[in-house]
Amino acid sequence: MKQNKRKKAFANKLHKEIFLLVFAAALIPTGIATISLYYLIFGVTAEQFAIPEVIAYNIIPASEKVTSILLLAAPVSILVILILAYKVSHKIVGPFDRIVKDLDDRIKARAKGHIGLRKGDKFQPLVDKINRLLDKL
Amino acid sequence: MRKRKIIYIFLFTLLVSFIYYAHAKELPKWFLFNKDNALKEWQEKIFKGKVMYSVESEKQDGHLSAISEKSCSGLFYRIKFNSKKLPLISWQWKVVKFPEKAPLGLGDVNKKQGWIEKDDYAARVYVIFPSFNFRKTKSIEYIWDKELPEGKILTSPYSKNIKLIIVESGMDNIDKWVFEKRNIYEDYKASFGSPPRSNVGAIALMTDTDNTLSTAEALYKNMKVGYRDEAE
Repeated sequence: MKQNKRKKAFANKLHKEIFLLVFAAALIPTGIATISLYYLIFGVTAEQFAIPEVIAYNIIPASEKVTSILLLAAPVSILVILILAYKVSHKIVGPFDRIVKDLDDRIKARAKGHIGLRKGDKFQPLVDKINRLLDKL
Repeated sequence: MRKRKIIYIFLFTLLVSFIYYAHAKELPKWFLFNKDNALKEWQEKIFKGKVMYSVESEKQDGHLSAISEKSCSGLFYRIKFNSKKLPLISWQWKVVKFPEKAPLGLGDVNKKQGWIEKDDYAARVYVIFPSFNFRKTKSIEYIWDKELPEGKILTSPYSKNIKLIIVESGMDNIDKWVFEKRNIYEDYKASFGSPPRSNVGAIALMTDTDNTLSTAEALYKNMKVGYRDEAE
């Protein structure tokens, strides 16, 4: 019987945690900065203009334009941040898992020689040190 | 530990009450416009050109004079009070000259552009209910207009959050001092259909002629804000 094997979005718990950390680290300051700037520009200006017609004539149309641009840009920005967070977390967790697995193989004598990494993977200096240690053993 | 908590809550309540009552003591606020520096506590907010606001204090009975020539600016005063507890505002005003505008039919108020062109009034008094979100700031404006019927409540062509209440209409009382006394809380409910969610945050006065490109003149005096009738 053919089994439908669904590919998991996250390799493990660490992958998920790093992804959430990167995503939140990018999104939360951006959100706070956007809200603060919005309030600074429109809220404070409205307070200074004070007369309701002046606010309705000058500030509200400008704020509506900016709001619609933000509403269009926000989903795209969030999507970009999601993709980047996924890629960054993957680049950290992927090599980490591989190093652990390769070390396991060598401990259990299932493999010999140096541990290898893919091009662009993180932890190259760590792997170099492990390989030098393996050479000495 | 619990005792300390109770003491902190008590001190905080005491502080809040002190601030509230120290503030409330200023009420009712009178604006007599009988001293040269009477406008010192008001801010002028300019929309299109400056209206000539001046205090005529030499005469025994002082007043504020507003002369607008194709201009629109208002005098703004920040004052905070609960309109349910202190609902009344009263003042005297006199229109010397109305802005020259084509007769405004009630049908015109549905055509936004046409109405903006006629949105000039010889005299108006604002009561503003600010909100943290400036889009939700609401205001009612008491207006003396030459054409619009007394008692009519209209929505401003600029925003649905601005309601215009015609409290004086026509030429009958031109060049005469007229006394007005309004219940802000009831007027707000009649205008917006529900009671105000925030306190009154400011009042303002305006005589404008920027849309009709004409001239207007009005006088204001004896303004009293934030009080209730003793009998109530």
